[in-house]
Amino acid sequence: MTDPTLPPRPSQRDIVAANLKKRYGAEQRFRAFGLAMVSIGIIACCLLIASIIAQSIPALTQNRLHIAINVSASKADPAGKRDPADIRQQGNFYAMVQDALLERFPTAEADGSMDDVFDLVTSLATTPIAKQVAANPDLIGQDLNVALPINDDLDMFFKGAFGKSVESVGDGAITPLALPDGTYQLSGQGPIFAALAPTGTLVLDDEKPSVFVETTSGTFKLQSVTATTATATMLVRPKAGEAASSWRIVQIASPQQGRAVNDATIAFGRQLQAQGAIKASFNTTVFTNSDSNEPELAGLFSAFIGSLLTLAVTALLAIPIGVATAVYLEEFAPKNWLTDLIEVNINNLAAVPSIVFGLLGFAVFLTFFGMPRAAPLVGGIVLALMSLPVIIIASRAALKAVPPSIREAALGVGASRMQAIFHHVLPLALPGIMTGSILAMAHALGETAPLLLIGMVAFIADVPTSLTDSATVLPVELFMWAGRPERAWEPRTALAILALLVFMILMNGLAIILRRKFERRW
Amino acid sequence: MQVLADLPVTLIIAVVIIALGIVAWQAGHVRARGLVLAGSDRLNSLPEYHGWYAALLVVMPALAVLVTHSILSQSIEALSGPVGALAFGIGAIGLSGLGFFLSKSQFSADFRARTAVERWVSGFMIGASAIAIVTTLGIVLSLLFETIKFFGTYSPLDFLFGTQWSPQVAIRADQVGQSGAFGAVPLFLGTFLIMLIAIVVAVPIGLGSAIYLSEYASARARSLIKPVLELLAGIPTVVFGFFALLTVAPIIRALGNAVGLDVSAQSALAAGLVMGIMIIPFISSLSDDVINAVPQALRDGSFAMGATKSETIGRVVIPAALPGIVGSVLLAVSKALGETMIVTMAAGQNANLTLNPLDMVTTVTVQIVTLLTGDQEYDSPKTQAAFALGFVLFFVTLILNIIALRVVQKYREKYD
Repeated sequence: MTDPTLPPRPSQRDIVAANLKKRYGAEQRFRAFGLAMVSIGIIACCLLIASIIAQSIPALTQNRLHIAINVSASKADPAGKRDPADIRQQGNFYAMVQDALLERFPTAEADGSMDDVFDLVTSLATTPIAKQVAANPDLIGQDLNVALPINDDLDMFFKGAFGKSVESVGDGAITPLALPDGTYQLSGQGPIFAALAPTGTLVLDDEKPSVFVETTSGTFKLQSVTATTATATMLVRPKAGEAASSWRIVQIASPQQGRAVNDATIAFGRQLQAQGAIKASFNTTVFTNSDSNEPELAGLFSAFIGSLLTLAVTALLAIPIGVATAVYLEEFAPKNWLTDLIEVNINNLAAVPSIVFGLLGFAVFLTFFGMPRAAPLVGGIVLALMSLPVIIIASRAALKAVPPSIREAALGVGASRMQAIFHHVLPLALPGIMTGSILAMAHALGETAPLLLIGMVAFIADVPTSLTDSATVLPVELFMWAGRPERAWEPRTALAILALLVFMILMNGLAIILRRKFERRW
Repeated sequence: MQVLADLPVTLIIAVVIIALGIVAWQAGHVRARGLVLAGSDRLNSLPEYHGWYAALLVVMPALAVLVTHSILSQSIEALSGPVGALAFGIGAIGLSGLGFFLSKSQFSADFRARTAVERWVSGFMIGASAIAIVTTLGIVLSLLFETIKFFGTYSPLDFLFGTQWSPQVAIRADQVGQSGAFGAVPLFLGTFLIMLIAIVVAVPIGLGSAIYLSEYASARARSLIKPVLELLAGIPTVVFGFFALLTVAPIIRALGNAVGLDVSAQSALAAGLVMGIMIIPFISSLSDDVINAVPQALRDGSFAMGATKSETIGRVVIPAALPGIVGSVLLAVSKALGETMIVTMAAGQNANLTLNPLDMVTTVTVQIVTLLTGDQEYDSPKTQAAFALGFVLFFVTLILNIIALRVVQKYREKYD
């Protein structure tokens, strides 16, 4: 009999040791995974904010046309009665701007490029002049310096939305020679266009990016170039007798077909820019104007007032009712099925999708009660119903945090229950209640979906003055702007988002300060 | 009368009544105070309660009359003019006077003014609490009412199981009216697809962040990182929609084109990704709470057995916190289903029956907005269809919420 030879049993220590490396590796990987997830979350947040800031930058400045117009009596007040209403309705202030522009480009009418000049500024841009003159009819007959926002597409072009233009100073003198077919031949001494076409002939048709030659006061668009000469069409006629030695080649980054603004308007705009008549300045329009179909004239003011009115209704309804409910449920309500039902109900109401509150507003307030569409009153009520559960839950938590000894002490010296709560408990819970309420209001400020359903998604050019006027609010306004086709809306929408976020950050900051300053730990 | 038409008569009368209320408060207060100063018997209630009692009697019935008038004038033509407003206003002021004399006649040292005032306050608080119930009732009834009307003209089976959604066009020549096809399956599928993408994005990031922050990060890192994630919860959804439409969708489109995929300008993927980012904080902060609530003793026990930190987390902490985590994911699902602005801006309106995330899909909420923001009369099948969709949405999210809240509550009770 021989003993069966058993393999030596590995000790527990060896098993652990053998796996240890693998387990530590798993530990490292798990930790790295957690860190990666946190980083992704933070990167997403930063990307969101950074992309909106980057998109808003073009809207921060606005190019304006600074020009002196003559407020002639025949155009400003055709009726001749100096009645402000007449001036505002019948005064043709755009014609004065057109006259002033033609004074700068006297040959535009003869050259057939008048419409391109007038494209620089839309007629709606002159509304503020009409208001100014109507308020002060003494201005009629005088010269008036005005600064008008220029056409949004040209503005976007100047800001580089269609690519950056490249300028190079021309070499020596250049002489334009009119050809019989209406085009021009540009030539100078030597190969002045060598940079564009070193050898052979470069044909610049409509699908190629445009190239301009700008003299001191004129602009030509090149059609075909060799190293020494170029044929071109004239966009802006040079003034007679100007120096031929100062000129430059301007390579526009995009062909005329790819953009909403044509070469001639760009040429006139660039000439005015060179003369200092078109200057970029901080964009105040977007904060002081109301909505408009022209991006360069659109602003957030009416939406801001709409938000203010709506939020006032929400706060006046939701905060008192929410706090009263919280006090009742927390301090007075008997424990029975009814209060249980209310409690479950409030918790669930807090998680109901906001659009359902919009349906409620549509069915009950608009249809059943026949309240006006798009009114801040209805919007405020709907948002109040939506924020109520949040305020109730926050207020109850604040009341719960006040220790029972406060109540007992008050009751002990003979206060009624109502006195104990309202004189002692509620003031101590107030910072918590206010924090919760402000956060709920900040949320209501950013809410969009339910307001779409009660008709607040409308074009509002007038500032609402009462709770039943048609109005819109900031988030809905920027939703509408984001859906409009012109490119100039995009930076303006981003700027509107930043404005909205600033308000929300201010409200959240206020809530944090309140909490820091008044919070008590028992 | 022409002058009156421009004046907010009701508003002026309301101000007058409130002014009368202040006078009444003063009068009641002075009356009671007089008794105290005269050194007579002890008053039952403090003087200010007598003031409040008088003020309530003066203001409340009168304001009730004004409110009744403004509600009635919405529907009854004869009351809506300035004459009606004036008549009711004068009546209200008369009622104030009556209240004033009533409070005066009731006044005595023994009068229980405090009890009476507290009864008013208590009534107000009960009324406020009832508003939450009334809101829910309003939601349920308005949704139910319109949905039943809709199902009167359109079969519920066709609605729930039909695969063609085209509210604008009639599909058969003999169809009554101009109503189209309301088969909601493409919407349910689109909603589900976007929710799924959002959850696939948000659960790993949210849960991973919660675990890292509560188990690994230093207190300092935690106090810096947590607010950043919570910032996401405070950003309005319309901002996420803008981000999805103008930043994420073009990037996805460019990436897709680079590898030869055809991506539509408004894809489910862009909307789902951004929605996932939006719901990260809902998962991370609730999961963080439940992970922190797991008793330290469980972790210590595991460490004592020689487990590494990740083993402890994977085999002890997560299983213990699982109900809470499931609850937080359910709440996030319900949030994703009900989210409106991101999908309205970035998901599109074509009801495609597809599960391809690169295609354009539409969702329940998008269609509610589309159907109710156009110009149409109230009783058309299109508005009713929007309410039927709203009812489905409300019902599904309500069930998710009830389950989630119950699960979380049960879990809390376990360790509290």
